[in-house]
Parts: sequence; structure tokens; C-alpha cells
Amino acid sequence: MSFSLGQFVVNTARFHLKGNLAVLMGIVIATASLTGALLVGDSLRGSLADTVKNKLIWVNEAVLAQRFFNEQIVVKLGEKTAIPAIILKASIQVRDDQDCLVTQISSAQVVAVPEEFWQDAGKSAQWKNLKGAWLNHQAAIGLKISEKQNVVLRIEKPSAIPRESFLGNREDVVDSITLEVEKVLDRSDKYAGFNLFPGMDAPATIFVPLQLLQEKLGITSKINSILTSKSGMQDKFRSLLTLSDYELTFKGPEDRALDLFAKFDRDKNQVLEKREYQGKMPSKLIPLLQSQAGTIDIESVQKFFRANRNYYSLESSQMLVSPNLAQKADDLIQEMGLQSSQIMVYLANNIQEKNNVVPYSVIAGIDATLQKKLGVKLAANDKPGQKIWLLDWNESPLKPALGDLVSLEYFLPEVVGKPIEKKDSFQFAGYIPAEINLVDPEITPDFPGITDKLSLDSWNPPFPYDNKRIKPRDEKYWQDFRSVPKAFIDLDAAKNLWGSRFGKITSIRVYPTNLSFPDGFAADFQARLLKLIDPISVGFVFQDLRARFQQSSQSGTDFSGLFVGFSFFLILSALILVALLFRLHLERRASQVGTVLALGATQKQVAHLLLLEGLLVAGLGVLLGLGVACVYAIGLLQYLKSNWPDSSLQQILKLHIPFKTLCMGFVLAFIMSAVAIFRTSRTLVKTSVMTLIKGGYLDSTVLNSKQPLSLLIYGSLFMILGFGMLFLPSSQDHELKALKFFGAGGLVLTSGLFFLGAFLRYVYKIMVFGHGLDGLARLALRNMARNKTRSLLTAGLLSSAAFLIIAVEPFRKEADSNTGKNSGTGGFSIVVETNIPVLSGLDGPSGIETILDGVQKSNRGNPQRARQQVDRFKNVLKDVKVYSLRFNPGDDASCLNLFAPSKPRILGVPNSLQQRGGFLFSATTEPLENPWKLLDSSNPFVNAFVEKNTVEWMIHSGLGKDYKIQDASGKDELLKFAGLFQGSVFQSEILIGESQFLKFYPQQQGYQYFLIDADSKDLSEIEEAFKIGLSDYGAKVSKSKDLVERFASVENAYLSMFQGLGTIGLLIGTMGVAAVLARSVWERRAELGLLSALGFTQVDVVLVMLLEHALLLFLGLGIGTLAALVSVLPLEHSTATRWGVLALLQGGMFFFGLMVCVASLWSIRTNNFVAAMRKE
Amino acid sequence: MTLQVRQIRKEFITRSGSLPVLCGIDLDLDSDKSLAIMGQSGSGKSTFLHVLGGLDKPSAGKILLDGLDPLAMNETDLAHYRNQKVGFVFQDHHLLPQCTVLENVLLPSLLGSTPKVEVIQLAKDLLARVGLENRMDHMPSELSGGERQRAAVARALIMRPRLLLADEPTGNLDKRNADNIMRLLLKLHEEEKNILIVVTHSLELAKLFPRVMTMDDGILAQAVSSN
Repeated sequence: MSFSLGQFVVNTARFHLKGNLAVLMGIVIATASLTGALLVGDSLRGSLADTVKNKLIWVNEAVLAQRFFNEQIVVKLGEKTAIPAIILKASIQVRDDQDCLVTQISSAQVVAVPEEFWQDAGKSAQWKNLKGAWLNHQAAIGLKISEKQNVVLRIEKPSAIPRESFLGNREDVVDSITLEVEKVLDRSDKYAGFNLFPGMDAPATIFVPLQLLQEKLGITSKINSILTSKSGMQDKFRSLLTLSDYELTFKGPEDRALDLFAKFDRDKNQVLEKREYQGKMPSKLIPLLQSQAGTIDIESVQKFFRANRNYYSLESSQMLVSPNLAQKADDLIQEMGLQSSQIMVYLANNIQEKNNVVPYSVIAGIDATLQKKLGVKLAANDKPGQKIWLLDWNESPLKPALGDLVSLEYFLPEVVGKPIEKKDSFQFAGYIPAEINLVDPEITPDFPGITDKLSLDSWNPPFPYDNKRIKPRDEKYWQDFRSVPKAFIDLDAAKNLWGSRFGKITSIRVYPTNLSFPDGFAADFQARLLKLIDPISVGFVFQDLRARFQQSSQSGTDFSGLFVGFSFFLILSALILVALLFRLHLERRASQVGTVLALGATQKQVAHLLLLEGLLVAGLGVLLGLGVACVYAIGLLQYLKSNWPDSSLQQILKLHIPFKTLCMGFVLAFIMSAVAIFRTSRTLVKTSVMTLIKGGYLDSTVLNSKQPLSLLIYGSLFMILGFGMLFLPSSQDHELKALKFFGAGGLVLTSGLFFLGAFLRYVYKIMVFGHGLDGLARLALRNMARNKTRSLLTAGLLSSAAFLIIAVEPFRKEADSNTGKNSGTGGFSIVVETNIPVLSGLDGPSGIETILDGVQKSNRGNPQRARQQVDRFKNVLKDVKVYSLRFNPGDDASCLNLFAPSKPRILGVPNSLQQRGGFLFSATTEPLENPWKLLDSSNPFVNAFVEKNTVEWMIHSGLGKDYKIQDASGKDELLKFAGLFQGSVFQSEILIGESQFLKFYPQQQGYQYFLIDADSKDLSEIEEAFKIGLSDYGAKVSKSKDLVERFASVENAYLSMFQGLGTIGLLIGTMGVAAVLARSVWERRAELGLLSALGFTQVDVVLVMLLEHALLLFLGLGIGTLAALVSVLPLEHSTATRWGVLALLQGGMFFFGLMVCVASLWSIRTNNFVAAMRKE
Repeated sequence: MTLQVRQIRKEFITRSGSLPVLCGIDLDLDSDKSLAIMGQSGSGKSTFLHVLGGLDKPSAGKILLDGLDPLAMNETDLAHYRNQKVGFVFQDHHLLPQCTVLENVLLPSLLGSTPKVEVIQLAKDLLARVGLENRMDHMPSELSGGERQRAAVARALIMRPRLLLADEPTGNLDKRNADNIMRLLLKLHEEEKNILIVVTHSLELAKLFPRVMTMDDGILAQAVSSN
């Protein structure tokens, strides 16, 4: 019969099955704690990666431009997988028969695509010739509609001219498009989650045929996106971009002649008939354009332009050439050695000289070059900035003498709210002859509603206009000269007066160096200019969305680290439990081990045998633990999902079990268990053989060499180190904070265990005598001190669990009952976000008017209801104060978004809010009474405010640190975090001053974020007023308290989970106590029998055992609690720490442990110790 | 008569049926008398001692010690009875390893009401009387087998019991130590004037007692006089 070592080990393990099962259980718990924590991190990352797949479907790269460009470019790309698209944010409404709002989704995604988008034959076929739209499940649910019902899209109208410039259209901002819902994509449809924007939510989406949306928006052949599954198309894409894609034109004399014909030559016969141009072209120009035959044909026009207007003009359809593009063009002109002029054309409401007034006149700011071309002569000491030149037209009522003051009245170039008129005076410096071959009307860019009107009287400008002021001479001028400026000032003066963040010039003229331009000049200039323009600045770039989202999904909060960190004490507890159980298990076998040693086996051999057996158990335990880890991870994820404040996590979070994590869990848990087992085995075999044979304990009842004093010294040292960590420099760095938290806690906990060790040695010397409780307590103390290592391990277990539960509690966020000015809500009751900017903001009475106007519009078909609502809301809105903030869209930087925010949302804070102040700050770089002054533009840095949690956990930065963002042109800009909010509504964004905001994002217009200071008793009414009144803008209205609570609930979800880990740790701890107790009862049954024989009642015996373990419980929990309290001292935590809750928690944990002890001791009631004693 | 035992019967229920261990034992002992009980292993002598000491309950019968009937007592009174009236010395010393010799002796006094100073003095006297005056602060593990059993004897006497029961107290000791312990028990019995009942296998040691009885299959019978 063969009997191998392996068989021996297996047989022995089987023989000691009960003990080994206990050890195995400990290993299972340790493995599950560690691997489960890792799996939670994997699952979060994996779920986010799945979300990326679901969001992008087949799309890998996309151009998501901030402006429309030619669809034709997609064809030119020559890539089959590239499809044109329009992707927009809009609100979707359902309106009733009377055109009143029924339901609305304030922020939905509009995806306008051709049939090629649907890589599914069935869907492509259905999509072809579709005249309606498809909704995804979220949209249908949100709108509570089904197929064959109509929805109304509210989309911001495309506008070339910035709406906040004085020529911008501020009235007609929202486009309404009614579409029939042809189909609803259910939740399981792979296209239902399509979303090219970051974030976890599957947004409400409406899919519209591209051509249909283009028609509805009136932008035929224009798109703002290209979707593709391929990569590497950027270079070709860039090469295909033209100036028109940047909304620029570069036209020479021939082009302008062609434009003229394109505009007026309705019969396309290359000849302009009188009926075609009458009233549309300056009458003074017509003779100059006519050929010798008296006709106006293309050759004669081109000839005129070549002779008299031989320049190329760079203009923008936005009216103003953006400063960035103007600079690039200027650089190129310098580089090419060309002569050029910059021109700034503006509109004056009045030109006045004494009492003579000319209304609504074009004024041009011209540089020295053009001044010279127009024959302006200035003396050497003349300051052109103060001069004005008037066109010398016959009917002009202005007859100033040289040096007379001529004033100009005009609207300020940037309009927020109502246009503001201003007046400036200039010195009359001379006349410019009204020769139309010299001063051409094309100096003024085309402006629909003005330059295309037949008469001045019929102008339809976007600013206040009074056509009653028009006199016949003015109309005559319009007929003769049309948009030829009536006055000229110096360019620099014009830039100062009328330049804005949108631009300071309206055109750049390039003149030939010789008499004519060289062949191919225009193409060369354009190509070279295009090379200088960075396409990224307007979003003309193929973004690798898949890579970016995947990066965001992996680089967010390190959940594995977080969970392993917070599971550290749990893992430690489980390992201590393993060591404890293995120790108890071996102690039972002490005499056997002693016998084997006595029979001649070496310590090493016995240790190896024990280790092999232990490793066998560890291996099985770890394998089993991996299975339990999966169940444990499911539990944790479920807990997180159910505690998350919205449904986003519910939808995406699923368990992911990467094989490498299982391997890592196996290896780590196995090594840790093996170390615990090895140490215990080694200690056992090193005990004297005789002690072992007698069944002696691993803990000798004789005191070892370490005296209480040395333990006290060690304890004090650790305590000093622990408290010392509290005095480390205060930092906003959350890693340093975590180091302080765990460092101080760990050191104080260790110190507590050293003190406990010293205490055990001290109480060991207390004499056991006395009567009643005193005597029994002394006996209990002695018993506790008897197995000091066991007692220390048990206390360590309990203290670890208590540490986690108590330490986490102060961070719990309670709904702050303070909603005052200096609270997280800043004293604001409501926060409103709109999808479409409200141009004038909502501050003041005009803002209330905007809301009431919106209420009226929302009830278009029901005037009676409109009146009722307006009356109702007028009353509640009268005392409401609104602060409007500018908004640059980006990633939600709050903890609600598990993706790493690569481009956070930015808010521009107006001066009014900066002056008002308020909100709760966790820290600021300078101690100011009103920290908002730090956002003042006069600061040397671009200061920014951000929520403390956001900066620590999402942005991974801190107070006083720099943070790089990209401005609208793609240029890196540095922000400095000068203030950190605490528990505020601003968790999703970064705040900077409005003036700085406009420098970074000049194209962002209007306001999209509003803070509402309102009386709390009318809150629901006010909320409804904003919802209805701003429904066209896609308003999302939230109570600020709800927002703060929502963010807090995320933190609390994590904290609850970590406390849950602590509770599991406590369970493990109490299991340890129960195991120790059970073991004590078993090994001391003879002793208990003796006590019975000596006259101890069962109550006495139970009391002694209970006192012993209750004290251990108390000390263990006490050490953990003390360590926890020390560790949270240096951190800012909830202002109203629930000391009562903490005390209850502590009491609850103690009571729970006590009950476990009582349950374990219940068996003593029926035990016959005398029989046990007899057996021995 | 101080100790009266009448018709004590004890049966154990086994898988093969009822197993009689004590078969109607009668015994009367005065307060200053001692008795040695001999018998083979399994004859029921230890069970009888446990029944007398209130550690085990008989199936039938009656016991009176100074007029007290331990079999009629509830658990609390019985524990008090064991503490106040009975002293036990077991074959194994059963000293608590975590307590010193003095503390082990003092253990039963934790339940009593004798003033602390007095009881400590008494314990020290007892230890002196058993020859352990120099060992009272030692741990049990630091004592020899004989010393441990002497300490156990001292512990059994700390409450000045009326009935001192010793269940093979010398079973683990060598001859010399066994003789010493037995003589010590007798000496202390004479000094304390209590009832001493000792169970032993050793005829030689039994001969030290004035009265010896034998237990055979649960029946207690008078043996030959020690003389």
C-alpha cells in the first residue's frame, strides 16, 4: 500500500474537517472582499466601456462642428463609410390641438442622417423617403407619446451674424419644426442609445432624415457633422475645406461682377435689363457699367470693376471678420508683401451737424491706405481718430465747415437686453467726392433686411428703427448710392467704437502690387490662408470619439483603488480572521503536533506539513472565494445602483468578470492567506514540545519578554506619529488627504493595539480575589489576558471594522437645512438651464417679460388660458430676482458622471452675482469677505471656482492649482482654482468671470444658466412659470435644494457602501469573537466544570465569559472608534456631524457583538461541564 | 448523623438499554468521620462521589447533609451548596492555568461573603498547611504534580466545607507524593472536623483510613476494617 505525502496531507485535512472548514470560510471571506472590490472597479469600467460601444454603434470618428458647412465635402472625401449628418441639441414638445404645450423634453438630441446611417437593411428601407421622424425609447417615454403622433422640435435657428452683435437677429431665435413620429425604437434596439456626446445617460433622441431637416431649417446641402467608422481622414478633410466653410468670401473684380449678375440677371442672358436692376443698383453706378452699346453686360461690368475696383475683398457672412481670422489674413498679406486695407463699416442712427440730421447712414472706418485712395489729406500733426469726412452728395443737409463738430449716434456693438444708443463727436475734416467709381457701395457687406431693400423706408433691421424719420432726400440717396457710406472715420477709431468680441473689421481689401493681380492669385491666396487657419478652432476635425470615450471611461475615478482602499480594513479583518481561525484550529491539534515532534520530526518538517495542509485549504478557499466574490460584487453593484440618484447607473451598470482580475484575486488572496497560515504554523512548531504535548496553548501563560513599558513606548510612538500626521500642512490634494486619513487612522489604531497589549499584560497582574461582580470581573480580566495574541487579533478585527464604520460617517451629507445666502444653494431656490440661449438674460423686469411672453407663446391656440396663466405667474414672479450666467457646453464634471470629464462645462459669472456673493466655500486662495471678488477680471490669473468634490475626484486637481482648458479657437488657456465650493449646486461645472468667459468663448451668446432667488412659498408656481415660459428654450428647471441633495446622495451612496464594507468587517469581527468564544468554551469546558464544582452557577460562569469577551469587544470597538475620530479630524467633513448617530452606531455595534457573544454562550446553559471534566 | 445517603440509584441510558451504575446505596457518616471507597474502574465510585457533591443527579434516592437535601435544590441553591458545603479534589488538579496558586485557592471565595482580608489570610494559612507557603505566587505550570494537587486540596478547603470529596486524588502521582497527599487530606480532615470521602484504587492508601468500603457494580459494601 502506498501512502504519499499528498495523501497524508489530504487525509489529515479531511480528518480535521471542521477546523479546516472554519479556516476555509475565513479565506473565502478574505478572497471575496479583495476580489469583489476589484470586480466592482472592473464592472464600473467595463460598463462604461459597454456604454461607449452602445453610444457609438458603428461610429468611430466624427466631425462635430460648431457651424454648418457644405455637405458636398463628404462626397469629395470619397470614403464610403463617411456619412453627412446634422447633430443638434433641441427640445422636443408635444402640443395639443390648440397649440398648447402638453409634454416636453428640454434637452434632446436631434440626429439627422441619411439612410446609410442605418446599417440594417430593414431600417434603411424604411428610412428612405421617410417624411417623419423616429424616436428612441427614452424620448417616447419622456414625451408620453407613441407612433403617428406629432412632435415639435424647438431648435435654435442658425444665424450667421452673432445675435449679440447689434445687427444680430434677437427676435426670431427659435425654429419650430413639426414632425410625425413614424416609429419608436425600443430600449433593446441598438440604435436607441446612439449618442456622440460624453455622459452616461442615453439621451432622448429624435432621428430625422437629413434632407428633411435641411429643408425645414432652410439650409439645403449644409451639415454640421460627418460620421465614419474609418480613421485617418483629417488631412484630406482639411484639404477639402474652403473659405466658405469658414463663412468667408474672397472676391475679386470678376467675382463681384458675376455676383451682380447672379443677383439681378433673372433671365440668365448675361445682360442686365432695366427691369432687372431698376431700384436695386445705385442709379449713379448704372451709366458707369453700361457698355458703349448702352447695355450692361458681363464684359462691361467686369471691365468697370477691373478699372475702378481692382481689389480682392475678404469678408465674412458673419458681418465681422473674427479677430482670429483677421489676424491670419493680415499675417498672410504681410508675408505675401501685398498692399491692403482694413475696413469697419457700421450704421449710425444719426449724423448730426448743428441741427441738421441725416438718419440711418452707413459709416465706414478706413485705414490710411484707403483714406489716401479716397483723396483724404491729413496734416502731419493731425490725429485721424478725431476726424470725420463726409460724402459730398448734393442733397446732404450737412454743411459743416472744417473743424466743426459732427456727431454720430449709434447703438453699441454688443447688445445684451435692449440696444443702447451712444453719441460721439468728431471734427469735420473734409468732403469725399460722391463719385461712385471711387467710393463703392460694396464697402458695405450684404445684410439681409437692409442692403437688399429697395428703399430706406422698407428696411427691416433687427434694431429699433423709425422709418418716419426718413426724408425724401434720404430715399434719393438710397436710390443713387445705396450702401455707399455717408461718412468716414479713421479705422482705429471705428474699431474702438464698434469693434466687439465678434470682430473689429468687416472686410480686408487686398490690392495688386502692380496694376493687376497675377494669374492664380486668388486660388493661391485662399490656399495659403486656409493653411494658416486651424480647422480645430471651429470643430472641423475628425475626433476619435471611440478612443476619447474609452479613455474617459477608463480614466475616471479609480474605483478599483477606491474600493480596495475602503475594503482594506475588511480584507485585513478577513486575514486576521484567517490567522485567528487557523490559530484556533492548530491549538486544538497542539498535543498531536507535540507528539509528532517528540517522535523525532523536525520543526521544519512539521511546519511544512501544517503549511501544506493550510495551503490546500487556502487553495480551495480562494477558489470558492472567487465565486463568492462575484456574488459579493453583484451585491455591491446592486447597492450602488439602487442608491444612485438617477436611473443612468441602473441602465448601464453590469457585472464584469475579467479573467485577469480573477487571477489577480486568486494570487493575492492565496499569498496573503499563505502568509497568515505560515506565520501561525511557524509559531506553533516553535513552542516547546512538552507544552504542545500537554495541549498547551500557543500563548504561554508565562509572560514573555515584552513588558508593558516597552509596549507603552511603542504605543506612544505610534500615537505621536498618528497625531503628527494631523499637523501635516493642510492640503486640498485628495491623495494627501487620503494619506492623512488612512495614515493617522492606521497609526492610532496600531497604537491602540499596543496599548491594549500593555493593558493585557497589566491586567494579567491584577489579583483574582474578592466577592461577587468584583471577583468575577477580575477573573474575566485574567482570562482575557491569558491568550493575549488571540485577544489582540480579536480586538484588531473589531477595531478595523469600527474604524471604517465610524470614520466614514462624518462624511455623510445630510440635506442642509440652511438654504441661506451662504449655503450650498447660495440662497437661490431654483436653478434653470436652457438648451437655447436666452439672449438678453432674465435679469430684471425684462427677464420676467420674456418669461411671461413665453407663457403666452406656449398657449398660442388658447388665448384665454394664456391670459390666465400670465396673470397667475405675473403675480408670483414680481418679487423674483434672477441672475443669468453664460454657459459653454461640455462634460458634466460632477460625480454623477462616471466618465472622466475631458472638457468640463464652463459658466460665466456676471458682475451682479460677483457683487452679491454668497454660497458656501470650502476654501479660497485668499481670505476675502466676498470670495467672488477673486473672479474679478483685474486679477493676474484667470481665477476659477469649482466644487471641492469635483476638483478632487473628477478633475484631479486642487485649490490654487492650474487647470488647462481650451478656448473657442482651440487655444490652451490656464485657469487657477481660487475657490472651492462645498455642497453647492455647481458640481457639474467650472465658474469663471463673465468678462473672461467672453474672451475665451466670444461666439457663445446669451445666457443658459439661471439662478432664481424666489420666495419659497410660491416655489412650485415659480417653477412652473419658468418651465412653461422658457419651454421654447428647452428649460430644465430644478429646485436648488434637490440638486444639492442629488449630488449629496451620490456621495452618500458611496459612503453607505463603504460603511457596508465596515459592517461586513464588523460581522467578520464578531464572527471572530464568536469563534474565539466557542473555542474558549470548548477548550475551557473542564475549567468551567471546575467552576461549577466550586459552586459557580451557570449565570456566574456565563457572566465571567461574557465580561471577558464584552470587554474585548468594547476595547476593540473603542480603539477603532478613537482611530476613526483622529483620522477624520484634519478633514473637512459634514458641518453637522451626527454625534448622536455615531454614538448609536457605536452602541449598536457593541450591542450586536454582545448579542453574538450571548448567543455563543447560550450553549453553556445546557453543557454538562462536570461530564467534560470527568472525560478529561 | 451528618451525612445520610438512602437508596441512591443511578442509571445511564445507552444504545443497548439502561445501564445501572449505582444500585441503591445507603451510607451514614458523622461529621468527623472519613471513609475510603475502593473499587474497580467503572464500578460507580466516582459517580457516587459526584452525586454526593451535587455535581450529578441520581435516578432515585435521598441525600441529607446537615439536614440539607441537595437533590431537592434548584440549580442556584445546588451551586451554593457545592460552594459552601462541599470541597472537591479531583484526580487532575484542575487548577486554572491563568491564575496563581493563591488565586486558585481563592477561587471559590469569589462567590462567598467572607471579608477579603480574612479569606486571603485563610488561603495563605491553608497553603502553609499544605506546604506551599513559598509557592503561592507561582503559576500552576511552575509546580510539580504533587504541589499542584496540594494546591487543589487547599482550594477544596477554602470554604471550610462540611463534606470533602476526593476522587482518586493520587491517581496521577507517584507513590511518595500519593502517600503525602493522602496523609495531608487525613490531617486536614482531623483539623477541620469535616466528613472526608476518598475514592482510591490503592489498598495501601485506603488502609490509612479508619473505614474502607468497596464499590462493586454499583453496590457499596463494607470492607474489612483497616485495622
